[in-house]
Amino acid sequence: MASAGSGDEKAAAAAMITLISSDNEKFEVTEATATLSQTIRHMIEDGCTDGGVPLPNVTSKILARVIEYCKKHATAAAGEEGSSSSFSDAAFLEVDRAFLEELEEFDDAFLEVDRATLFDLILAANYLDIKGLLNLTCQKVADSVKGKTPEQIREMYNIVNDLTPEEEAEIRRETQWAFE
Amino acid sequence: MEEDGQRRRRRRRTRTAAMPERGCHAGAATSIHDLPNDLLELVLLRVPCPVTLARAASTCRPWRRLISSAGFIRRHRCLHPPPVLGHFYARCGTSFVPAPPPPGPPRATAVDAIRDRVSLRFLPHNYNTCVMELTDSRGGLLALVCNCNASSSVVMCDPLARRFREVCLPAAMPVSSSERFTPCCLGAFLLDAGDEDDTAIIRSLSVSNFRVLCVPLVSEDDDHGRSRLSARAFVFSARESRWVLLSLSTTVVDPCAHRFLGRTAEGSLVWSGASCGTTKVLHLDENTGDFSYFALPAPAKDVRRDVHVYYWRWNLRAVGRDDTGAMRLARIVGGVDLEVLRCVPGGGGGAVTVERAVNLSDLTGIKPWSDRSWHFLEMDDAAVPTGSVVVSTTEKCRWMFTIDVEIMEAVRGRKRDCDARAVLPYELPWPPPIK
Repeated sequence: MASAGSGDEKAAAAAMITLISSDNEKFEVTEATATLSQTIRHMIEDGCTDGGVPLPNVTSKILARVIEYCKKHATAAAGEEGSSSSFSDAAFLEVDRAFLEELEEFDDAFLEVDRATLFDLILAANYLDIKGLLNLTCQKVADSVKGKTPEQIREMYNIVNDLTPEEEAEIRRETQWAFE
Repeated sequence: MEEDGQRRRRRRRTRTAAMPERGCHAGAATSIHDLPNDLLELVLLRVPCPVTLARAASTCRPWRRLISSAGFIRRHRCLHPPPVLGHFYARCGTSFVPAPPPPGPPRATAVDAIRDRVSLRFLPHNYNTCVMELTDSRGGLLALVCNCNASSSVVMCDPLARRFREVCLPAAMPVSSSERFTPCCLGAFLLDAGDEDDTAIIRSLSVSNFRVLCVPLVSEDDDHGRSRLSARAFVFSARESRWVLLSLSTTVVDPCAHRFLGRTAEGSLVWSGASCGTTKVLHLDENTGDFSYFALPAPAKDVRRDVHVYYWRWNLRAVGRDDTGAMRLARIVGGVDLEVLRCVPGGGGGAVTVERAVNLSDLTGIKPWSDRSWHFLEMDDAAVPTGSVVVSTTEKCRWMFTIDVEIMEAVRGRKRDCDARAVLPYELPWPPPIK
């Protein structure tokens, strides 16, 4: 099973998929990278990837970033699978830890983007159904409001306060403990 | 085409996941307003701190609607259980013991600052005394019962906002002319928020927004002129500012004081009569308002010292319901054996069977000097896993044992006991408890 599986995987890894961004730029990626996206995985399974996969919701700028993320995490996934069979437990754990640390560093650096790009990445991760990337980007936005006042949150995200003074007073009264 | 796309995008505020083609160019920067509601929810569910979320809810209307929706609150409570600020101990008077700071390097959090503000000192002096009994703590609100006057009352108390509201029990609404309310209430229990409309904004519990279930006893003269006691379940809604009769027990309850045994996660309230020889356990399902009572069987073994068996929290506990919905009680017989009782409601005291029985000394490997000294410990409910009871011996035993009544396995821990009648965890008011 293992040997037969790895043969198939090699064949699959060699297969290239062409992704086409909204501004018609073409990106060649391995199937292992592309299938981190559940949306593309389903397309491959349905056999409708010949002549490229058009992604009308994702610009070339964002698609390049998404592919960068997928490449890194696809190698990580492949590394985990490979190492589990070829290393002894202790060596595996060591490699595993180093790998995870490297991956974390990569993720941190990956998130060093402006807000517009971050939201574009969230939308793309959602559209392409890439769970890891969606988690990562949503968490980044969630962390950004930590410890902020309502005014600071509004300013940070250009939120227009459409609450009436009465509503606002009511909220303050109800959750006074959060504002003291 | 491209410009058209940009214009369309600026106008569009909400979009579903299966969105139509759109251009995304540097000219029109994507912002948080471009996230459809389900993605904004994904983001906000990742904010663990209730303080931050409460602030986020006051930025604008769409955020408030999202954060205060029943679905969001349910999911958020599931992911991040609201922080417990500390515990209220019902002794002679009620006192607050702040929760110890989390392990690790000391760092001041928003929740720590709130913890320091919890206090009952704002209550009038005569309130926080022995006559006020704390019976519930839920969603940042406390319910205390005052049984000292001719008519009982309940006091809802918000130790953070430092407000309280006293509500007299519905003495003016007897069901028939022969009935009298007794100055005895078996407890006041706060109900979850968000009862009727799931789409409405869910408010946290406060002295102006609560529903409380009270169980007063009613005395009624029968045809022979003897007075009989029965229990009533009333619900007071702060919004409607009135009492509604939920149900009445058809059973005559024990004339002696009732001891509250506990409230289970499924919404069962259980009391035992505290007089000697009483084997009746009163049960109220807070969801349906159905009263029932269980007649406990005599101890399986001949227990010399328990000629006059009586039950209280030290030897009888409500554990919860099993897979079939039957109520489970745990009792310690003769200070020796732990029995798990399965109680199915029904006429004439229901059907109560001894599901399991174990000798506690055998189970724990602890042989007390006096082998009849096993009892349940009084400790905060949060420290007791669901479906478990905590036992120890009255001697100077350093250990306590948490026993899962399903598998009857004991886990040893260092003994923590307290002299309080009840220990209730106090949570932040947000996110509110919700069905």
